[in-house]
Amino acid sequence: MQNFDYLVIGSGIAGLTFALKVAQHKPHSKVCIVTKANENESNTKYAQGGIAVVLDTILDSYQKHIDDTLKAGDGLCDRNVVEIVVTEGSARLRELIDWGVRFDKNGKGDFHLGLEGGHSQNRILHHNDITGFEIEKNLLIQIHRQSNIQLFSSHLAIDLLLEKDSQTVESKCSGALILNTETGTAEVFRSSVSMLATGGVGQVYGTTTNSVIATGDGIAMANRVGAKIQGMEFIQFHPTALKHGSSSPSFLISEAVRGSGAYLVNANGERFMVNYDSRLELASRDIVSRAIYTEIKNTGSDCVYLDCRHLDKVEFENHFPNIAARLKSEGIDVSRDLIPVAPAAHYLCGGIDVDVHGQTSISGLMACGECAHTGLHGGNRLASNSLLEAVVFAHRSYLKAIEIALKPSYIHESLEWFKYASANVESEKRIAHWRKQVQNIMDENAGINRMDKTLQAAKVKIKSLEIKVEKAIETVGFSLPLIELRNLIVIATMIVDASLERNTNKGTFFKIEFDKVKILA
Amino acid sequence: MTTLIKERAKSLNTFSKTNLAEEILRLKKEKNAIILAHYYQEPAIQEIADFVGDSLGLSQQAASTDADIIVFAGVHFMAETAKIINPKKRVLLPDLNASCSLAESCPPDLFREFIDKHPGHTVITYVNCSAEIKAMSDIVCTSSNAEKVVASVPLGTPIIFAPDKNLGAYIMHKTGREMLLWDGVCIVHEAFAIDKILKLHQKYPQAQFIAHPESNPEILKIASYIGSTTGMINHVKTDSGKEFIVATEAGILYKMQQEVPEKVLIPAPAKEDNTCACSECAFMKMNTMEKLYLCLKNETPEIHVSDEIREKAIIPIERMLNLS
Repeated sequence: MQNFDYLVIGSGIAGLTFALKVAQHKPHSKVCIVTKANENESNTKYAQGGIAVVLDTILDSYQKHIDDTLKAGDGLCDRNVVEIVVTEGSARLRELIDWGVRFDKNGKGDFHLGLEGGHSQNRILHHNDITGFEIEKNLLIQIHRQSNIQLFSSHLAIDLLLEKDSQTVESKCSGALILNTETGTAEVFRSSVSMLATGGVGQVYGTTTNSVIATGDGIAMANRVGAKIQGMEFIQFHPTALKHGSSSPSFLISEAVRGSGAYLVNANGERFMVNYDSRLELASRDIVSRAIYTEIKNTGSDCVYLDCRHLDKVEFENHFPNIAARLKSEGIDVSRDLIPVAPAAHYLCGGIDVDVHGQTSISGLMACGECAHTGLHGGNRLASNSLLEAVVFAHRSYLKAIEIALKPSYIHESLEWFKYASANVESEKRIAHWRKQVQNIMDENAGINRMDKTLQAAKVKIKSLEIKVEKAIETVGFSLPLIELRNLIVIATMIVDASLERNTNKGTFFKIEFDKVKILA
Repeated sequence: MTTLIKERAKSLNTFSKTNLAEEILRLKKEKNAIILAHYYQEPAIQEIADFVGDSLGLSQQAASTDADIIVFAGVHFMAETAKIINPKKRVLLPDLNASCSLAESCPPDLFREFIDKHPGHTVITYVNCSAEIKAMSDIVCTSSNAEKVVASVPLGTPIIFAPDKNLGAYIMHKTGREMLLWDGVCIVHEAFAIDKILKLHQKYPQAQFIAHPESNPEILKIASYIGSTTGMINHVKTDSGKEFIVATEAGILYKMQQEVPEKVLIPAPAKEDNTCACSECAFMKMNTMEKLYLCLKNETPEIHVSDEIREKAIIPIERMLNLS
């Protein structure tokens, strides 16, 4: 049993920013961060693009950024939230800079503002093409300086703990059951405020840009305690993940590459975006992804290509050193060769429903970052709005969290029933196999184009796997891969159910039968 | 919603297995109940059951029993069928979530649309479907009697066959009758891998390959015997062969091996890797001794079928039972 005032689950930009702010403001409080991996492993690390902030008030304006966000969200954004996030962005950006995060500047000493799909103006601040990595690194430096923050690596949250509040008789979150994956022991971490910052769900798909730890643990845990969850059908597919070999995660070729002038061509060498959208290669991600998906189907190939041959090679390498190095290691010379790319699951627009202060529908439980649904993204996220959302909502959540009275929890859990499944080749092989099956089912049936009939079939298959996994837990006990798999199955079920329910094509969501209705009408 | 892990774990090991078996037998006698178990159930349940069989055998048993309570250790559609045949009896199912991928592949609203689009067809449905689907059918069949049922439809009358397209295609091939097939499959039987079966056969060249007709067409093409669960068991018993590669749900091998202890039975491999338990029907395995005991003790969960559906669904079932 351990007691904390604030328990933060997840160590990406959302969790670290929130923890840092709370700890700095309340130096006598005890703040705990748990992460199942190493402290620096998260989707944040892989964010290449940057952070969208309106700094240039001559060419750009809050209104333009708001309009771009609303347009991408396809009518499903919460306008109030969009306004909040866009207008509060610059203040949060300054804090990042104060914490040591460096953003690229142009020759005149001003910030270099990049352009990405769906943005009407250049407004993406970035650190080369490794912005997320730069932010994560500096936040961790700050975290380690803060003596009232304890960071536990290799600690996996299994489930949230609820207790009845003695006064209001309402259920309240009092912490979480945490598994130390190195020792195999489970322990109760009590807290007054719990913050879910567990990131994305990309690993529910076979082709994803998300880290192998992006298994939707926070959303699955929130679901099990009955928190309200929304928008799970809105999965953004990044149009251009490198299609070379079959490593997971897939390596991302940032939108900014298209922003700097790269063309998309199909297997026949034709520049095809002219047939889909007047914004060509810089149309919003759902349109580009679906166009690529269609071209792949029509040409019978497994990819399309990014053509950078007309771009200045030196400039490309300066702006995208990380991408250039990776391509080089794959034997691709951008001045001569085409870059094979295909869409990959990239970002979850929905998640755990939170209000404008980051509070979920469960008292004492907050959520922030990719696992939260704030209403900013609506049906589709605008590029580089996610790091922005994370810092703005981490700040707002922090302001709320420090207001919440810190009442010690007396929740007691006997953990006698807990059985750890120590590593066993046979069962690990089986779990890995089931995980692959979930991913195959989702790739085939809940990807860019969906259909009720196949979603229904997917639901049965997922249910069948769920039963097998529950049986496995009964017989062998709990382990990290089994708990992740269990969570992936919850996520897959939520995505499929939400997809079956939705009957209009919006944002990233696309059902074939509704498209036909539109054509016939 | 999945349960919290602690709730899940706490519900385990509440009973010891031996007491359970005794308790179940005692309650069964006390309440004049009968336990019908499908071949795919776990061995402990098969041992305690009054009757173990396939869908056809179980529905015949259900029709002839004079017990007051039928506890169906199988999946939802089977218990529903028993209830339709025995409206006055209480029919219990240990876990109401024990569904069937074939039944799930045929939702009533979509099937209604399908029938309306193809008027004038005789509608034959495989017993693996919901009561609502049966209520839309002209005659029901099982894998044991499907050929006979199809042959009973006058030549020249067009036929809709649902929900299993593999069984449907096999029966079309056997009878030479054209049928309009619903696009449903069993997720267990579609998982067998032909290349792996062929490889396995090289290792056991003497082994006969036998398969359930729910398997994919390419699998059926190489099978030396194709039949229902009961059909396969009888075949293994009566055939002079000593080794068999069996493509059906893994649970049946338990019963089969009991019948032929001297023969070698090899489960057919699934597409990816046998560690996945792909050829086990997870829904069938939802029933456990604990759930069976609790269901008999509390007389719940109980199966209910509305009169409206029941009165329509009984007709095609009776037509089938009269043919068998």
